[in-house]
Order: sequence, then C-alpha cells, then structure tokens
Amino acid sequence: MSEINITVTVNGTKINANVKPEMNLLKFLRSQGFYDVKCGCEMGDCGTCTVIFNGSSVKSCITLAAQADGGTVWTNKGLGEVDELTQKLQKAFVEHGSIQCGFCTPGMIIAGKAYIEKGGKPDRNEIKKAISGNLCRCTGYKKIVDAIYDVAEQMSK
Amino acid sequence: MKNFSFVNVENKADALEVLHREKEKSCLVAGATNVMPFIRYEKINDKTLINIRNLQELRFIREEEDKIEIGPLTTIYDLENSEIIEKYAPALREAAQDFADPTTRNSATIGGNIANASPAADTATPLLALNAVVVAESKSGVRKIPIQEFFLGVNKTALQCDELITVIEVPKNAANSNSCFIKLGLRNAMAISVVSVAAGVELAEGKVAHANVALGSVAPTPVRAKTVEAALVGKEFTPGLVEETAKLVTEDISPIDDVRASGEYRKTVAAVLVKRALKKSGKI
Amino acid sequence: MSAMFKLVGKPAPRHDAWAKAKGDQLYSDDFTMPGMLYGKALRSKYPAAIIKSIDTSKAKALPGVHAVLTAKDVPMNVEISKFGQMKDVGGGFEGLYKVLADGKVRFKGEAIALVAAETEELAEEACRLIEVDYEVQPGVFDPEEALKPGAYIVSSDEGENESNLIMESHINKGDVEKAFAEADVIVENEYRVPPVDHAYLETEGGVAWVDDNGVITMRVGTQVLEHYRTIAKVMGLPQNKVRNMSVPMGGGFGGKEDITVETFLCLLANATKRPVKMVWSREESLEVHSKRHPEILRYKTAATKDGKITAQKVEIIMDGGGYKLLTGWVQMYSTVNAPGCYNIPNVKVDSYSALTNNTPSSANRGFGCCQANFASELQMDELAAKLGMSPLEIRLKNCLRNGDEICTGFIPQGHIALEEIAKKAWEGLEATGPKPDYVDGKKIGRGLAIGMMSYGRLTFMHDSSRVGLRIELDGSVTLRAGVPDLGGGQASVLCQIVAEELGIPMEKVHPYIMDTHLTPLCGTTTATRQLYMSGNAALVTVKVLKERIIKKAAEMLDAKPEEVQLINEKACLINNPLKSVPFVQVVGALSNDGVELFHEGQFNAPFTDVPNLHDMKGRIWPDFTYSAHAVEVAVDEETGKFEVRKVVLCYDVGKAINKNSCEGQLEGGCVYNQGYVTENMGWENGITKARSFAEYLIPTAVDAPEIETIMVESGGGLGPYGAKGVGEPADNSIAPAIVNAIYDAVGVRLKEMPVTPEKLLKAIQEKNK
Ligand SMILES: Cc1cc2nc3c(=O)[nH]c(=O)nc-3n(C[C@H](O)[C@H](O)[C@H](O)COP(=O)(O)OP(=O)(O)OC[C@H]3O[C@@H](n4cnc5c(N)ncnc54)[C@H](O)[C@@H]3O)c2cc1C
Repeated sequence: MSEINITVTVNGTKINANVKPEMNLLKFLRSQGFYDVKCGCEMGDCGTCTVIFNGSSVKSCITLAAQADGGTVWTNKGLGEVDELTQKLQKAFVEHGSIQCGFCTPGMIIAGKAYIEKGGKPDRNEIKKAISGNLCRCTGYKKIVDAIYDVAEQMSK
Repeated sequence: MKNFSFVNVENKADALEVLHREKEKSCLVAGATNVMPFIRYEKINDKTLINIRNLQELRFIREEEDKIEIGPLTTIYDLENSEIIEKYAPALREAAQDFADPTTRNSATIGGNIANASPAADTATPLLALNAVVVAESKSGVRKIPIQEFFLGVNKTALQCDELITVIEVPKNAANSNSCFIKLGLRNAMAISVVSVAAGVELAEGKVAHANVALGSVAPTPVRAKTVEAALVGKEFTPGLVEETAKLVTEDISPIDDVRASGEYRKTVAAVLVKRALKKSGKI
Repeated sequence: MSAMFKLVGKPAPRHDAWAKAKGDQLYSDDFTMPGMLYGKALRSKYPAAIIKSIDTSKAKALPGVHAVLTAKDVPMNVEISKFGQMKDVGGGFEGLYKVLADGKVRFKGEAIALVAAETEELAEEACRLIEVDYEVQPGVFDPEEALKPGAYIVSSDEGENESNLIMESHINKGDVEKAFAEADVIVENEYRVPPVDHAYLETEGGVAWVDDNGVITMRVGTQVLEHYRTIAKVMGLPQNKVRNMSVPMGGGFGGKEDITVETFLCLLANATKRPVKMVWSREESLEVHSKRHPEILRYKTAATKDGKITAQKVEIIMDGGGYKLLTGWVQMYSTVNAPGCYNIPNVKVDSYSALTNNTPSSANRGFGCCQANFASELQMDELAAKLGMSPLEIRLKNCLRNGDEICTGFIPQGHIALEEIAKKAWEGLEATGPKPDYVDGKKIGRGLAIGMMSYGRLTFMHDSSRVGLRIELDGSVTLRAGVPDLGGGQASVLCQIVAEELGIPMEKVHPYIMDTHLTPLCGTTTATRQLYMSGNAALVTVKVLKERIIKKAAEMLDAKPEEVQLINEKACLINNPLKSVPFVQVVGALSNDGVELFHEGQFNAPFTDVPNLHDMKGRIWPDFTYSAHAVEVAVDEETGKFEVRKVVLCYDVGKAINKNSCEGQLEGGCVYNQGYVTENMGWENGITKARSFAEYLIPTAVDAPEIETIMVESGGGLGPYGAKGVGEPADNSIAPAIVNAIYDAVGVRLKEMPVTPEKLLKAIQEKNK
C-alpha cells in the first residue's frame, strides 16, 4: 500500500512523484498533466496510450509506472516540439485528413514514428502491420496509412 | 483494496535474493503485459512486484555448439529480428511475427510468456515442438526443466515461487531448423489464438526421422500431438500420409468451448493446421 | 458554378486538426478541478431482478466518501426524454428515461446507486459496501418470446408494465397477396442481425460542478447538447441553470446520443457541492451503454421471370433491450427501409419492437436502416441466384430512379443516382483485374450491395438549427454554433461555408461551439443532419451579413450591389477585379454607420405530421443518400476464415464540401460496418461476454481492405451547395456486400451475423455433403 517515490524524465523534464506500486504508467503520465496520452481500454488492446519508453514504443497502460523510475518517456506532444520526424508525421496527418475524432492520433503517430525509425519503408502492408495495435474507429485507416506512407517516402529519399 | 509493494532489482543475484525473501508474495514483473491486466482484474493481490525489466544480463540470444540459448528477458521483438532464431528455430520467429502487434512485442518477453502459462501463449507452442529446456534458478540452485514438464495447467507451471527462469535452451537439429508455426485467430492482429500449431520434421531418405508437433489453445496447457507424431515416424513423407495422420490430432487434444470458438471447431481446424504445418515444415 | 468556389470542394485541413495532431486537444476526461471527487455507479449484478432494499450505511460511513445516492434521492427519477427536438411528438415516440433503478432491474449493469469519493479506489470500495437485496427474476431475452402472452414483463413502470411491446408500425402499399398469387418466383428467407457496440476509443465521461452562481455546469462530450433540458427536469431545476460546456468527443457513432454520465455527475456535484469526475471503464462501456438493435427480419419476395420485383412482404422484430430509449425512432428507419432502395409496386411491412432484459438498444450509426439494408440486399442476391441473373442486373432492373416513389408513396426530391453508382462501383472492382479463382490457397469471391439512407431527421420531428456569426473589426469572423463535434468535422465545415461566402480564408473564421447556453442550439449531431441543417443555417446567416457588406462595398466602389463580389479578402467589381476595397475597410465603414455586424439565423427542415403508424404514408425524411459497395473477399475453405481484400465504394454525395472529410466519412463508415459482419458482443441471457477489446474485435489496420473511393457529385442534395449527408449512409451497404461476396466465393450465404469462421465452415461443410 505504501507509496514509492519515482523520478521519470518525461518530454525532457525530470518529474519526481509518489505513486502506488501498482499504478500504470498511463495513469502516472495523465496525473502529471500529460493528457495527450489517452486512456481507451487500460488493457493494452487499443493503443491510444502509446508512448516512447526508454527508446521503444510501449503501451503505457500495461507498463508499471514504477518501472519507469530513472527512465525516460516521450509523448507525441513532447516529441512534436523537438523531433523532426514527429513533426513531419503530425503535418502529414493534418494534410491527409487522417484525423477525425483525434483520440487515436497521438498513439498512432508514435506507432508511425517507431516504424519509420526502425527503417520502415513506404509499403502499405508493412505500415498497416506497424499500426495494427492502434485501433481507429473513425477513418477506416486509409488516410492514416497514406500519411505514414508519405513521411516514410520523404525519409527514404 | 489493492495491496502491492515494489522492488527493483539490478542483477540476477539480487533477483534471487528478493525471491528467496518474499517467497509466495513474489511476483516477477518483466514486460508487465500480463501482470498489469491481472492487477486490474484483481486476479492477483498482496504481492511484492519484483521488477526485472532492466536485467539486461538476461536479455540475449546466443548460439552454442549444440543448442541456442535465449534469455528470459528477450522480447518478442528480439525474437522476430534474430538471425539465430530464424536459422535454428523458425517456428519461434513466425510465432513472434503473429504475436499481438509490434508495440506489444517491444514489451512482452519470452520468459513472461511461458511463465504466465496461458494455453494460448504463442511462444509456448513452438518451444514445446522444439523440445526446449527451461533453466530455472533459485538461491538453492539451478535446475533444468524439459518444456514437456513445464506447463501444469492454466497459469500453472513447474516453477517454485522463489525460482527465476534464467535461460531457455533450444537444441540445434534439423527438425528444429525446419520448424514452422501457424496461428488461427479471429482477427489478423491483436488476436488470441483459436488454435496454434508448431511442427518440425526431419526427413532421412524421404522417410520421417523425427516429427515434432505441438498445439496451443486446445487443452489447459500447450500439448504435443503424440499420436500424430507416432503415426509419422518411419513412414515415407507424402501428402497422403500427412493428410491421413493430421486427422489423428483429435486424439491428442481436449479443447473447450469459449467466447472465441467451440471445442468442435477447434478440433476441425487443429487437423487442418497440423496438415498445413507438416507440409510446410517438410516442404511438400 | 463549381469552378468559382475558392474553398468549397477542397480538401481543407479542419480547424481542429493541428490541435489533435499535436496532442493539444482536450477531451471529457482531460479536465481536473481543485477539490475534485470521483464518481462511480453501482451496477446491477443481474439482468432481471426486483430490488427489495438497498442499504448504503456502510458505504456512507467509509471515510473519504462524500455522497451515496439512490433512486429516492433523485427529484424526478423517471422522465420522458426528448432527443433534442423542439416538438412534443407524442405517439409513444419519446422514451422513458430513468436515472437509477428502482422496482425492477431491467438489464445487467443498470445503475442502482451513485457514489462520490476522494479517490477512484475509494469510490469503488464504497460501491462494494452497498448492500442490495435482489429477488432474481427469470427475465426474457428474446424479443419474440417477450411479445408472447404471459411473457415476463420487463418494466415495473407505469405505461410499460402490461406488455413488452414498445411499438408497432406498418406499411401497406398495393396488394401483396395478389402479387404473390401471380408471381413467377417467390423467395422467402429469415435474417438475423446482432447488437453492435460503437467502440469509440473514448469511453463516456466528464466533470461537473456547481458554479459561483449556482448553475450546475458540466464538461461532458455528447451528441445531444439539448439533453440539458431533460437533466434539469430530472433535477427539478430550471433549464437556464443546467449548463454543458461540452467538449469534442473521441468518437460517438450514436452511442453518445442518449444521456450517459451527465445526470449522474450533476446529481453528485449538486449533492456534494464539489466538482466530480466520472469516466466509464471500457468494460462498463461495453456492458451498459446502448447498442445497435438486434433484429429478426423475415422476407417474402415475388418477381417475374425476367427479374422485376412485384411484391415484398417483410416482418421485423426488434430487440429494444431494457429501455425504450430511441427504439421508436429507429423503428421508423427499419420499417420504411425494409423494402430496400427499389421500386416495388406492392409492399407490406409489419414491425414490432419489444422490451427485453438485454442491454438497451438505441442509436448506432445506421440507425435501423443498416439492419434492413443487410436483409434486403441479401434477399436481392437470393432472388438473382434463383433467376440466374447477375447481382448488378437484378439491381439495375429494380432500383429507384428519379421520379419513382418509395414504399410510403413519397417521391424523393433529391437526385437518385443508384443506377450510376451501382455500375461505377461494380465496374471499378472489375477494373482491378479479372477475378482470380484462388489467391494463396483462398477462394476468391466478389459481391455487390447498394442502399439508401436518409439524411436529416424524421420530418415529423420539425427539425431546426441555428448559427450565430459576428464579424470582428479586423475582418476575422466569430462563428457560434451549438454543434457537437464527434470527429466528423461538423464545426469545421461551417467555417468553410462562411469563409467561402465572405471571400476570406478559412483560418479567419473561428468556431466557438458546443455550449448549451452561449452558443445557438444547432440540434443534435445525429441522423446525418449537421451539414444539411447547420450548414444551411450557416448559409442563411452568412447571407444576411454578406448582403450588408456588399451593399456598403457597392456604395464605396460606386457600383450596384449586384456588380460586387467578395473574394480574396476584398470586395471588388465582378467585371473589373482591380477596382476593389479591402474587406476590413468595408467592415470598418459598416461599424462607423452603426450597422449590426452580427446575425443569428435559423434553418427549418420540411415539417410533416406524425404518420399513421398502421398505414405509413408520405414524406418521412427530407431526402436520401445512395450508396454502392463492390467487394472482393478471400475465403479459407478449410477453416472458414475470410478476409475482405478490396472494396470499391461509390456514393452520390451531392457536393463534397470538404473532400477529405467526405472521403473520410465514406472510408470510415465502410470499415465500421465491415465490423458488423464479424463483431460479437457474445450476449447470453442478458450477460455480455465481450467485456474488453480483446473479445469485442473491431477491425484493425491489417483487417481493413484497400478501399477505392468514388464520389459522384450530382449537386442534387438539399444541403448547402447541393450537398447530401454521408455520415450514416457511409456504413449502409458494405456488410451485405461482404456476405454476398462470400456466397460468390463458396456458394453459401449466411443469413445471420456475426459471420464467424466457425459458422461459415459449418455451412461450407453442409453444402459439400
Ligand atoms: C494487448 C495484449 C496482446 C497480447 N497478445 C498476445 C499474443 O498474441 N500472444 C501471446 O502469447 N500473448 C499475448 N499477450 C500476453 C502477454 O503479452 C505475453 O504473455 C507476454 O509474453 C508476457 O511477457 P511479459 O514480459 O510482459 O510478462 P509479465 O507480465 O511481466 O509477466 C508474466 C508472468 O511471468 C512471470 N515471469 C516473468 N518473467 C519471469 C522469469 N524470468 N522467470 C519466472 N517468471 C517470470 C511473472 O511473474 C508473471 O507471472 C498479450 C497481452 C496483451 C496485453
């Protein structure tokens, strides 16, 4: 029951807080005001809470907040301020009409970034696989794939 | 109310120490992808969460003389991208490719997957077909558990409460190098298997020298298709033989009805997947 | 004409797109307030039971718990709920809304008590401490059983406690019996369609507080702002003292059309005088919020040898679940759309809806229409198969054309493009190459379905919308509209229309939306009505201001008003664009003259009387949008697993005002109802077995097909610039097209969804016996 003290660098800022041992990273991030990390299911099934944790993309709802002690987390909003690839993706999402309700968008952009960073090519099928853990109920995925494809193409030039 | 405490461990020795101290209260946490849902649904409580996620010393894939060694902290992503796995245990690689989605694969570990012992665990089926050996360590010593003796029931394994999986060994042999994995889910990603099959055959002069076939989601634990295997060994490997013997798989499995499918359906598709996996492994 | 548009028809980024891309957009769950408490509902363990007593004393005694409320704490626990319409429709349409269960529990998960506590965990703990004494009842879970004499009665409330029948409605056109007697062929089938969860990624939630003037205020995303009126009634407060400063939704699809957390939050905030937050978990959302109506549809169709349909007789039984909610309205859609989008001389439809102890049914994108469309489009293919005709032929032979009447005798005003779009979709699929027999060992099949669905609400609801505009002194424009934005770009398109008319860039128009008391009420974001209704309201409003501006500009340019146009932030002469005056200068001049630079205008849809439900006739909706889906599937004949490989969809959208938004609706709707074919709530005796997104499987990116979107722009709609609405029609004909394609592949047609691999395999095996 007793709380533990953790320090996590989120979007470049060190944050120190007391958390319950069983708290998930999603709730921790939201409790610290990182509201762009969305809660859609808390079971790892929807991908709206995807963030970059110690360099790789994870679903923050199925990550223990305490596991992030001493680690770094980047969210879509934070990356948008410093990371060129993320900025390109955000722009492509806006221009391709890939955003409807926008609830999946932050997680979707992180998944797209993870794909391109691992050397992902402009290939529709591969892009679909890369975002297959990020549900979207509005767009039918087509315009999301279009946007990631566009950026993958820009990056592979 | 939820009641947990948390300990972070930095190395294997630490981990064994804490396990020894906490005994039944221990709950190792690697990728946390099973542990978090369990906490949420209150399937576990009053536990000490022991964080082993950072134990880099247990995250490896090594090639030895007669086997490959996989560290329990190896992620599903690592399995998917390893040339060693691709060469000596392709079934495991194919299972990794069909596992959840790329993001979950970054967190989920092979150690967590088998320690959790779900009948649907996607790496368990291939490991069973590959005749893997689970190396478990506690303060009192190391023991090797053949994978056939590892799974005892739904979420039950042969591990003691103070034991840590430290290595998963996969023998190097032709059957394992020929192995493959097929999963049937209700969706193309993020789907728990309705049935999964892993198979590896070794042929000698057209005849079956070894045949290893395992299935997931068809019994409380992943199971070997012993009847099928026995009916294959020593025979000439032909499509006709495969089609006939694959049907025998119903002898080896005891599937139940659940939200995803009925037991009857599982029996039918198990035979289909066994047939396909055998053909693929034996390249006919 | 279209060549002259500057903005209309372009793929303009929406006003909110950047905020959403960058993660700046705040939703219902993203507000916290000082001193905020957490609300939680205690929910029924049983689908059918009588509540004997409730003991809240232990929960109340738990430190950190600030309120525990039950039905007796709600001033008006039972209310007749409107759904945004201004008119009392009567006729049994308005549904009974009950805040907290008392008497009989009607479905599993119905809220019985509310708790507000310091933390979420404490609120949960308090719920556990509430003791409810239930007397479990047998319940009834099948709508046909529920309608039989002697059935278990679901409700204990007055007006509903004698029978489970919610409503019956009938259409009688011509003489079906005579047509059946004379028919060359008759096809008879029964179809069954399942409940569907909206599966928006944002669950229901929000915050509420009592403001410094005693106004109960909330921030809750809803499709129906006007619910504040019902909430005020329930709370015994005046309507000007309950306010929703609503927020964009993370998806709605009809699921946020009924009241969700609003009343719970207001009651708790009022009881504790502290801000309260409540957000439903995914499990809660899947179990308790209303679903798409499950229906049983029985078809009997008569036709001549050459494929002309002479009669269609349909019986529909709808499962309304535990509460009536929007069932009456949904029933209108199922009933009138039952014969499909065809010109049929003799039609008889008999529809019945029943209360059961299942999760309530209500609005879900498609609203009764996609159920009927599924059945009628399978029936068409059954008929085609019997006659040896192709799916395209039979449709072209019978589909509605301009001047034809629908089954109520009404002749649609808008353009009917069914023939064109059916051909375009089918030919589009054929153009992707000849159909292969097998791909990767899977059998390939192609299928077609077409459909029609209304846009705009039922005309007997007397629908209206209002938009307010103010031109600022720097030439920017403030748009005020109570338009709930659920992601379809509902607000952005209004800005686009205003900017187009005033000849200014879209960024110069900023929308203030969704406040019950500060923005003009636009009506609901439902029924595919916002572009049609509020788009027209925006047009009506901006035209008033435009006239004032042009009049002044003409004066300044020494010209006649009809010689002046607004373009590129200037007023200029149509014949001599070089002679111009900046927009902002005209605005300044008007301001100097004391001319009003604001206006609030209203648009009214056509109004009709409530139809005679025993013989429905006349206009029921303003107009229709027509759809066609051509689909290619691949079926694994040994496992029954199938994939949707390709879709070519074609719609007459009238005018695509925002190209991206319009395509986005069509593509999103396509995949939404691709899910209709396979999604499975797993209902069993009132219990929902799909309690998470690991069980309720909506399509992922790798399940969605490659979609080719063809938009026809006939200009023949009743919306601004001839636009039609597309939001709901977007999901109309995809599901039957998939099932028809499976038939083409393997020769079996499953008449009951969900189509699971297991059911399909069984059907294939039976056929091969
Ligand atoms: C959205 C989602 C999708 C999923 N999809 C799949 C899928 O497709 N296929 C599939 O098989 N599984 C799937 N899973 C289940 C889960 O991801 C896997 O079982 C995963 O491999 C567990 O690994 P982990 O590291 O996350 O385990 P954790 O959750 O950290 O641990 C799981 C269990 O293993 C124990 N444990 C962990 N490491 C060790 C060790 N070294 N020694 C002893 N005990 C140990 C823990 O104490 C715990 O009991 C899914 C889960 C989620 C949330």
